[in-house]
Amino acid sequence: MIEFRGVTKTYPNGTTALKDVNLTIEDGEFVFIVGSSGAGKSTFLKLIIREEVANAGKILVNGYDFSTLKRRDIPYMRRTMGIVFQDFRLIPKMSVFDNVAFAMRVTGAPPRQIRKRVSKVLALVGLSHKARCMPGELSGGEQQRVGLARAMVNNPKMIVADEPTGNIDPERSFEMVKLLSEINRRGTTVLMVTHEMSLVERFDRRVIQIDEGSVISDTGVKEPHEDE
Amino acid sequence: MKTSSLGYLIREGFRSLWTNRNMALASIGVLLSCLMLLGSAVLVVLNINQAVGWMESQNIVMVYLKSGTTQADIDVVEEAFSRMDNIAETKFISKEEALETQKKALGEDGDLFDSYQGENPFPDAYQVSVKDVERYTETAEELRRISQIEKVTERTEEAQTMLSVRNTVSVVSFWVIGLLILVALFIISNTIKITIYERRLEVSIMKSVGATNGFITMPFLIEGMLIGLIAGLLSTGILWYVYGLAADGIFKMSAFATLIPFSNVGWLVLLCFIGIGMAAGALGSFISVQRYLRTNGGGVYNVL
Repeated sequence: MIEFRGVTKTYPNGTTALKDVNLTIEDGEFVFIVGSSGAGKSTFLKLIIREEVANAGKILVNGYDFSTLKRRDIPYMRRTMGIVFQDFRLIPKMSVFDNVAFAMRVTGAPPRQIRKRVSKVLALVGLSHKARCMPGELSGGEQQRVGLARAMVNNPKMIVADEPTGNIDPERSFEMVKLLSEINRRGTTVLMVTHEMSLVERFDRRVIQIDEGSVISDTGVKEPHEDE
Repeated sequence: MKTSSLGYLIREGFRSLWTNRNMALASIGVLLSCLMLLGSAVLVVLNINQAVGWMESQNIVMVYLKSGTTQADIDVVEEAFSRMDNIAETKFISKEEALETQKKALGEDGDLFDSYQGENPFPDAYQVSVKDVERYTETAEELRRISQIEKVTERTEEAQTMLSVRNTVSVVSFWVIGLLILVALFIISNTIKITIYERRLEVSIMKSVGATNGFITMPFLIEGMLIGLIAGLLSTGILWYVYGLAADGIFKMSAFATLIPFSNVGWLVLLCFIGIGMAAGALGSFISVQRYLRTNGGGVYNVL
């Protein structure tokens, strides 16, 4: 769950990226965050993962109150979410399997559990047969699915996808969002930041639009349709 | 820290040491010179301490008579000896004996003394042993007052020279080693910094999936400690070899002066070198990683 109450973020250079933002995203929702570049989407994301700290207001994420969150607890808070990056951020010298396993290893999971879980998430994104490939041997869409598998491997409550379709072709983009929908259907909250309105329109989901640091529209919670 | 992670962290440490071997070699080199210098200084100090201790335990005063002494002079001196209560025994070394001894010591070069043509450059001398070592200086003073005596050689003079050498070595090496340790720390932390920058993608992913700073620091710490371990092992080996050469050389110069055998101090040197090396490696590495994690480099987004 994400809750923003009167959140304002001003950077040291004087730019106000977010102004008095109020919103609530419940567990299990699928939400598109849309807006043009520079609207404040990135700042919104950075606040959620506690990369940046708000100047004013209250932020609650997955049960962590950021006003009282200690520095040493940030890693544990981040384990409740999985992040998918626009540029995939796969480690080029590691195989697909190792890239996904890496995210689990660094949280200290035992090797046997890692093998089991990685195989499972690779199957979920349809890449079991590419486990031994290097990222460079995959298409953009496939690389992003590896990124998604990595985000999911620690079984987070919430997936935060930052322009996940920004670097892949439209057909694969559609599949990517369908995959995110499928993950959402299994109970994970999905937050997808994007500026591709045409893609958003193909899915009848809650859309929060940010412009010049403020929420300018919010369609509210929508139940998914069967035809998605 | 779970044991399953430990294997992973150690492998990562070795891997990054190998990827980064040129800088690692530079770090090892500086740390090695630092340890060698430290080891040499400590060994010099230990040997001087031993020599001074040995000298101080000796109860011998060498007394040299004025040249051209007659039998009458000798009688006067011996009479004076007999009146002193702290003298255990005296051994007369005539100038002829002294010449003979010196000739033998020089071996083939002993012919040199033939050029004196009967003119013996050595004085008559006594080797005086004192009863009570505590009153050594007092007795030496008493001997000096005998008018037929030209010179009294006290052990304290030699001991003083050696002690001042020891103090100089200690002070100079203290500062030089201190400086070198700083240089070593600087180079190690730079080596690790390069490793971190090479792996900043991995670090940012670690941050994004919730790895703790401790976990992120560990492979770099291990890399630093490996640098220290290698430097410690190498410097002990080199010091052992060089010390052996020095001991042989000194033994050839004089059969009486022997150095403390390296095997007596070898384990201690090894442990200290490895300990200091690994501590320096860990500290240098720690400084570097903490600095990186505190700045934007340690973030998820503001990285690449």
